[in-house]
Amino acid sequence: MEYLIYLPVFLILFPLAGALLSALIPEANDRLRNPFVVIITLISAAATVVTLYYFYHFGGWELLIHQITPGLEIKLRMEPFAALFAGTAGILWFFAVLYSTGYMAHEHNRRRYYIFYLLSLSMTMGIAMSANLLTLYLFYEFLTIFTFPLVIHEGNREAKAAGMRYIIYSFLGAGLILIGLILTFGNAGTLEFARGGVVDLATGSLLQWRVAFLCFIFGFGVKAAIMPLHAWLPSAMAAPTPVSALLHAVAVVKSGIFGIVRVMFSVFGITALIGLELGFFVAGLVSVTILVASIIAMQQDVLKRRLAYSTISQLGYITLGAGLFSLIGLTGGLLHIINHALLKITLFFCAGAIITVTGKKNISDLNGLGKQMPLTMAAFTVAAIGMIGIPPVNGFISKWYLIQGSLESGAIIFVAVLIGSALLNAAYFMPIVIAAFFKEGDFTKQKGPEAPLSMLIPILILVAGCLVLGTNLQLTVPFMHDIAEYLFYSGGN
Amino acid sequence: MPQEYISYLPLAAVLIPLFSFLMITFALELVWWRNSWAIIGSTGTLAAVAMMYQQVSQGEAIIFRIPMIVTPYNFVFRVDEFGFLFALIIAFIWLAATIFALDYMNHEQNRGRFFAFFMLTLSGTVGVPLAGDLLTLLLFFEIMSLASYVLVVHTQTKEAFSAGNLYLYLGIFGGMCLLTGMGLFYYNAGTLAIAPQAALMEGLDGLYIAAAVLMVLGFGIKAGMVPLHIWLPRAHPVAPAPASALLSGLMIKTGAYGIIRVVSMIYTPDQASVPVESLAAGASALWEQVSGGGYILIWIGIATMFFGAAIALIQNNVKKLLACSSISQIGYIIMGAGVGAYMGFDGAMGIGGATYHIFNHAFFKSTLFLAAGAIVYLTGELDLRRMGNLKAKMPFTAVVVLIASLGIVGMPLFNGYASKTLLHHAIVEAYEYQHVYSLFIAEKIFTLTSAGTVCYFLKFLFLAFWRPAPENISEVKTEPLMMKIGMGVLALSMVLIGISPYFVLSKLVGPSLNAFSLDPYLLQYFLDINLFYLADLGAVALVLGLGAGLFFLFKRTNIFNLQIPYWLGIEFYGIQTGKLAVRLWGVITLPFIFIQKLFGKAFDRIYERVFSLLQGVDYRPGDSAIFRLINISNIEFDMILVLVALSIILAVAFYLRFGLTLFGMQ
Repeated sequence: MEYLIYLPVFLILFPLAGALLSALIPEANDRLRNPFVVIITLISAAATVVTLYYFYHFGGWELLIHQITPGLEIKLRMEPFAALFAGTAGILWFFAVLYSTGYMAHEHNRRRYYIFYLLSLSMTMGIAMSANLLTLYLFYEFLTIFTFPLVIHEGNREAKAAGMRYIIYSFLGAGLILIGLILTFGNAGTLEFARGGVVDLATGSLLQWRVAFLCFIFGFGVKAAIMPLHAWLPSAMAAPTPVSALLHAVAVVKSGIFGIVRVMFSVFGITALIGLELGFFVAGLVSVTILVASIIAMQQDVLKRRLAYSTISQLGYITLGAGLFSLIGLTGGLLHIINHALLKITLFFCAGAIITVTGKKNISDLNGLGKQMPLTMAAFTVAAIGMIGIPPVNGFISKWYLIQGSLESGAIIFVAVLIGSALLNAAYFMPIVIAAFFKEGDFTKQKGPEAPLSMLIPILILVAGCLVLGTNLQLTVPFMHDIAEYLFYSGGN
Repeated sequence: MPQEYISYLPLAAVLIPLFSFLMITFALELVWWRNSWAIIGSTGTLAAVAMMYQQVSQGEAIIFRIPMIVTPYNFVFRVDEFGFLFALIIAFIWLAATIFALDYMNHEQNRGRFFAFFMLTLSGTVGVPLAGDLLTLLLFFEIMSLASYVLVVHTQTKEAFSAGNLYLYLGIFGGMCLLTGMGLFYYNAGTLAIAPQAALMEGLDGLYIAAAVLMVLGFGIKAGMVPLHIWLPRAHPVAPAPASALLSGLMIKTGAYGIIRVVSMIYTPDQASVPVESLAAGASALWEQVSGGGYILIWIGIATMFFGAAIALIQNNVKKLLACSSISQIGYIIMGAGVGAYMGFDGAMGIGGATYHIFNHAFFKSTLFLAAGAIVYLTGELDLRRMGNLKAKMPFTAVVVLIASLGIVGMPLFNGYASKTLLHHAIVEAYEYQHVYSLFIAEKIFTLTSAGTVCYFLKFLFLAFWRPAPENISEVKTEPLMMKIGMGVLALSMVLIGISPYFVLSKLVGPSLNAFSLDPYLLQYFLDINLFYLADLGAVALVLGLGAGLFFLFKRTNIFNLQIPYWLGIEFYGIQTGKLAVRLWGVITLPFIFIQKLFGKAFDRIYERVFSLLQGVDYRPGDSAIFRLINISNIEFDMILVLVALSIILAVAFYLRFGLTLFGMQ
């Protein structure tokens, strides 16, 4: 099983190769392309699972791809946090592509769409498994470039404006990251990720370290949609729904979060973080994001925009968990990466199914939809309950750990933020559910399946996943606890 | 600690109705299917709960643990005598209401949905008393809260939605209060067990008190505690009758149950860690603090019962009157729990009275709501002013209502008498405990409220059943069989409970107090109490007389039709606060919106400039076909070119780096 250690490279190259091959399929030939891309992502997902299995049985390993100069290397490493992100992305991507085959059936430019969809998978895998900041930066930039065509897919004025906004925000953030990267390299002499961090505040001035840290936070914060930098996310909802679902609720935004956590715990390390004394600044900034985004979400009538603001708010939970600098809080944040990914992708898929079947985009048009699409709306309801954080859906458990983490770090105010946000969540999700199931509208029961099966099946599987992860915590909590411990404490790799 | 006995029964009691829910959702419109599943669900739950009696009656606690389901710790069922009594009442009354609903729901829409969520709510409600730790309890509490929303808005009228919204959002708010309180508690104590905590022995710090307040608040919302009762008079009447019966009879009791568990159990010294002799003095700091909380709780209870009775007097809608009466009665229960906490180790009378009253109120209030349902079903009328002489038209319902009303006003030999007398004893004892004068006043308000109860039930009986029928009253049919069975079973049990108070006291209510830290001597005193002393009978006579007097007075002065101005209600202030918050938000965001617009315009300018600049340097493809293909506007093809180049580079690099080793060439 010697060659299994090259699996990380395979995970990156295989979707890339798949993208290139799918470029050869003519635009009109859907009957070939759809199975092809589904199989590519299925194999990717399977390979991810094999990698995770191998990882959990034999421990981590690293692969040097290319050495530019000593100290600057393109390097991949399998370790717990990488496994978390790669696993989430790899598995959810398969469902997203499956869903796309249904959603995109009546859209234009399907060839371009699938090429970049697969390329983004490849880059996300790269981000997940990168072993140092340089590699992370490289894949992070490529992810921006490869998702740009997806954002402007519609090709209309709105989409182009959204794309422009997206690219400018992202490159602005990337520029900040680059500054932070240079500062770090200059002061610490290495860009490696290591347990407990590589930064020693004693070397180099505190001011420079603070600047570097803030550069990273705001740089990655663009993709993580921290509040003053969030504007690209709601406007990017002009993209097709599977893109919004995956890229803007799971992959792109989570790569920002991933970067923040990486920088916090693998570059700076907990000792340096406490020395910087910026923890409460980050947590405070994020708390404002959580509450304000929730309030803005209530005013949105376009379903996808409401979901986008909800994403901004929920991403704040994860960053808050990291910014509390407590082990339990970090566990909660990591749990929320998975839980939010599942819940939000379900919500977006439901929104997409509604658009495909009925063409309705506004919440005010959804009265009585439960008659026509009962399963979709039931899935939406379950995911919404999870978002609020009510047991037995999985959002509850991350909230519980975040509350415990806030208490552990001695800041009760964050408990109030979390609970306040939960109430706001209820205030903007429940009216949708109520309108769909209990209000009278012009929807009637249809014959046959309520939505194309390629859309309905991923929705049902994912919502079942939400419930399973919500009830059987054996599946997530111990792993997340291990990962949090891995990130939190110093020691070898 | 009582012995523990591991059994699947609590899990079964929760899963049977859950399974019924799933089964019903498969075929919502199939009448025999959903009816039989509803009956199977309620009967199964009752059977599962009843089968626990053997162990529980021997003083053993039934335990069932599953690690890491829903809670990150253990998902625990733990049934002691107190929880068992609750679960038994819930399962029994639920079955009666289900039987009633079979016929009653004939005149409603969406019956399948109703029965499905009827079962889901049962699963949540019966889980609350069976739960063994706070998070497990929260899970069932939330299931109950959310599932019962569907029952509240069942009719889908505008009124139902407005009441339902209030119900839902206050319910979620309460749930979040509970979650926060439990989080605080777990962080401090390191455990979620519903048992006296050794960690609290040293007295409470701020976080413990905050946790207790939040938990009481969370449970209090569900219980309808003043001033959080506003949802109750609106939500209970709009639901279909069987659902209102359960909302008012059982679900608000889960709130009371939670309050008793928190105040009188978790926040008391541990019997296991302190010797019984020194329990009273051994943890004086904690007792004192809890006693202060108990005093507040007594007054909340008194306020709740008084306001409830006061607004019940002026209601003309049958179901609204009953809902307000529920608020008033839950006030009695909260007062009892408060006395229990106030007197601490000596509080057997308070907790016992509250438990007994929970037991009784569950019976008579569900019966009354079912009877109100029967009235609606047969006359289509809810307004008392348009009813009359129903005793001749529907004698069965009249008898049932009479039994329940005599119970609720505390007539001797009917079921409310014992519990009201005990609660009266409790408040008198509380006054005599430290001779706080305000509690003397509280006792007087208690008596006055009881008289008020008599008064509004006389109003109900008189207007609906006894007075001659007014003109143009709608036609009355007779009750269908299933409705008769449902009401009859409950009325019969009430009569039996009423004539055998000592049996109930020694077999059901008494044992349920074993779980608490109470003085064994006073507990024995409570069990051996003689309910038929002349003084007690005199008190009841006074209450009845006063009530009747008030009734005639109010009838003369037409106070029953009084309309209270809107601005007196708490809801009014809630809405005003909401409006103010929206305005405030508008003002706060104004500068931000302004800045955003300014920047937006500036950025648009910059984009345009930069873009026209870039277009200036863009090459012109000319007419050549190849150049037209390789063009920046042809992004798809260009990207492919870039990618091909990139992949070739990567492939070569990969081969150089790994290929040689991979294929064994190096």
